[in-house]
Amino acid sequence: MTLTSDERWDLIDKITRETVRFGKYERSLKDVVGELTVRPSTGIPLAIAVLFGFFSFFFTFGLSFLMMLLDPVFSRYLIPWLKVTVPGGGATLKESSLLYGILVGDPTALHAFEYFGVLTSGLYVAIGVVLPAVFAFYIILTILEDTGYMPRLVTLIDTVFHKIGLHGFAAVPMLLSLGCNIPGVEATRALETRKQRFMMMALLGVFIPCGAQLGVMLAVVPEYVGLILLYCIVSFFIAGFVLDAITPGRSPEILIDVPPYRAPTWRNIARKVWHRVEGFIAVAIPMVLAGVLIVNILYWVGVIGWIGSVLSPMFVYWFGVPEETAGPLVMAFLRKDVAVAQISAIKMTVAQTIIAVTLVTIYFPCLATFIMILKEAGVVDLLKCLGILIVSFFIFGGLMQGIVSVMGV
Amino acid sequence: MDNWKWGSVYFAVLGAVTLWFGCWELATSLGITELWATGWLKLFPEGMDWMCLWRGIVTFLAGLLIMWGAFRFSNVEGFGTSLIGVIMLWILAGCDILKMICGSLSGQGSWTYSLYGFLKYYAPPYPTATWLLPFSLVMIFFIVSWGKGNEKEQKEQKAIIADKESLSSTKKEETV
Repeated sequence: MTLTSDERWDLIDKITRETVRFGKYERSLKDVVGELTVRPSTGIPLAIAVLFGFFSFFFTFGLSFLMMLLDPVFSRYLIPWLKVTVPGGGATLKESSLLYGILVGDPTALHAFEYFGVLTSGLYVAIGVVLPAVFAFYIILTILEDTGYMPRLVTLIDTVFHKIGLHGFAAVPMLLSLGCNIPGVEATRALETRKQRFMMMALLGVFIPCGAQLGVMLAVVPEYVGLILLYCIVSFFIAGFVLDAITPGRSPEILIDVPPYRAPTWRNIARKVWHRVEGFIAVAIPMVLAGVLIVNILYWVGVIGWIGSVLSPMFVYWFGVPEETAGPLVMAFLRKDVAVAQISAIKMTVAQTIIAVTLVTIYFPCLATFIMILKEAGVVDLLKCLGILIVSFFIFGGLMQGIVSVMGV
Repeated sequence: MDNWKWGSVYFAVLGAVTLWFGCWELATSLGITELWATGWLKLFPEGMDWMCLWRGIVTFLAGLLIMWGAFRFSNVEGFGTSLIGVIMLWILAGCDILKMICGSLSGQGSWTYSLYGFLKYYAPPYPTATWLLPFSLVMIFFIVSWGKGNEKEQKEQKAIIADKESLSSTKKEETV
């Protein structure tokens, strides 16, 4: 049996009459709050407050509370025990054996940061600094995701990211990278085109400090972290604007599904946080230990001293920092956070410390992120990222020296 | 005056006070005025200078939103705007309280605890948001009232729809 068009519409009307209930729809308070949080006039103030809460929790719980709880494990128990257990220890590093130097480090050091041994500073940075920071970061990020606030934040900042050829979803890899660059690079898959993915990877690698690095920055130059972060964000957008203009490819519009607000379930939060921290422990902690080991060997062999003497004119005249910073910059390729910690041990003026920390921040991502970019984007894009790094490093590093001298720090 | 009118006046005043604190915090963190503290109130918790400026901006904007929403408080959008301002205050106060709890439990990196060391973190002076927190909790009463009002309306609507449906089914039966 075939129906005419009119008969079909009549049938539709009949079914609709029998199945659909019509009533007066009134927006609930939850609906209204949901709408207000994506409207710029009310959404932007709330976003400023939420991000304040985000970082405040990160600094208070992760970098202050958990770090202080874990600190005695290293300073009171592990390091004193290692100092008497590892053979070949002397009064100074020069009087100690190679094994002692690599595993324990400088016996005259006063804080776990300053030993630079694999089992002392290496473990301290990995477990005592990086892990609390990353743990706190993922707790708050997961809560924002599960309540439904993240898609609203994405919607709010969509316009800003469009100016540099990206879209609101770029906020997800950006925020994840503040915890660790590796999941950040992975999250670039949320972006639509190859151009957007490449741009985001390059910008993340250069301008976004990871949670571990933020933690160490806070320990080394707490009063200037805000200035360095602001500088990184501004540089991120300037570099993004230039990259958008010179990178071929499309930057399409997107549709974002904004779910209603929901109360998060603690079981889901615990699972998600554990899953993320587990991944971090498996990838990043061995990298920290390997990084400290390699740098220690390079130091003992004399490679770092040689690199420092070769690159010293550039560091001294272009960036205005001492030639000893060459070593930490080599280290930054393996782990940025350890590099920042190493910089704290070099005697510098406040201005030089700010410049050196900024240089490490905008230096190439750590080896693990480097491998991740290779996996996600391929050799060609990785080499392009390398080119962007070198240019950004010189331009923004030199510019920072100018800013610091103008500010008279 | 019904509850909603009282609420409008109350949150207009709370918004104005919050806005005033926000201006003060901004002026202090920008170096326009000197840091001021008494035995009970201080403008900022101890911490990083750059976070103080950020905090000042949040307090200022929270005050603005609470006040803005209070002028049309019985309207759902106005009420929602005030609620967002209050949530911003709760975020600030939550951060301050978390700081007190973490400070008291951390043992300052030594694992040695004393009753005085524990309690001193909870003693005044408190930052502005912590003082404003109890006054902002009045919002919970209005959220609950709004929910109850909505529930009542929905029940009434459902009853009307059910009446209409029973009426139409009776008519159908009569036609048959």
